[in-house]
Amino acid sequence: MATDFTKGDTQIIVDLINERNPGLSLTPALVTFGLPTLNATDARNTKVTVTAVPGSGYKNFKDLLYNRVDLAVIPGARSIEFPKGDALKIADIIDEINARFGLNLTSNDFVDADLPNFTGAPNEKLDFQLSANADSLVYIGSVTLKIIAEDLDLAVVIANPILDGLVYVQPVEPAP
Amino acid sequence: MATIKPYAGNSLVRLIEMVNHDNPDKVIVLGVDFSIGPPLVFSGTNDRNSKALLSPLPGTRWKAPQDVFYKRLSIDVLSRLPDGFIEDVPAQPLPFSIHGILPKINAALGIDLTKEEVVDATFTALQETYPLVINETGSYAWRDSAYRFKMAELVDEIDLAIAIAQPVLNGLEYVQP
Repeated sequence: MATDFTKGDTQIIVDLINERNPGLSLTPALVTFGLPTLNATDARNTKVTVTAVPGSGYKNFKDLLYNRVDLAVIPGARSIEFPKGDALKIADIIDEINARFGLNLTSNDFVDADLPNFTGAPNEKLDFQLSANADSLVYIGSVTLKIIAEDLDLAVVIANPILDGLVYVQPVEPAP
Repeated sequence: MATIKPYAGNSLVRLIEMVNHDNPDKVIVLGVDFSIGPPLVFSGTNDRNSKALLSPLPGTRWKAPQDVFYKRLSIDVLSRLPDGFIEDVPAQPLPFSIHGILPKINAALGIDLTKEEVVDATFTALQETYPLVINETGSYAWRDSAYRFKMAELVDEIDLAIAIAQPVLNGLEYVQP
């Protein structure tokens, strides 16, 4: 089943449960999830406990095993460059990242951090790490992305537009 | 959940709104302009059955305390609402107490009672209806009275550990577009 990663994190996991258990029609409102932990068995990298909400018609809980997605596999052949604009932190450009890769990363899914600062050189591209939050239900790992500087404004760069020249200097004939 | 709620609202807030509604030129704010005494039984004037004493707070433009006289209702008015105004309270596992499920009672009946307004009781057996009894000394809107509410039947809960027979899931996998 192709997963729609633009859905909310709990909806994604509930869809996965329902797909694996035909006849079950859980919704995110009926259950809660504990904090996911790394799992080293069963070829699934994640273990999480799903618990019934009181009054939902279900009771008790169940441990689930599944794979969270490594952020490193997401870009593929697509561009990993994002204009920085006025952004200061990763959270400021997360909407662009989500739109580019068809995701719905929220503050619970990634570790926010400052974006690097440009030095002012033309065509600057700086790396930054987008790392999954350990509590994310959907993602693990990290991916290196880039921010790119806006083109420099020539009107600013050329601060002295009145130039010292041109002067044609007569060549001096060599002495006979 | 009841969607039409003619008796919704905190009782004290409703009383203050009534005071300001009937005296629009002198809007007063509880805790800023005045304090209020407990709701008291009153008999004597124009069908009013209750009174409460408004006392001006120091530093306000008001001077002397003033009783307000008004009518508190019997909670049994809920039984006279048209069909659809009241819903069954969602099923609760036994035992349950009135105070413990008061938010669910409020939601089903379209009211906003506080614990101080309601006599608590614990139920250990299923009944056709359950009494919701008002504590008159704690309620600015309701008189000593009772309303018997219905509760939905408790449906056997499904064990999630059994319902999720396959806990090893097939995913997640990110597929490149």
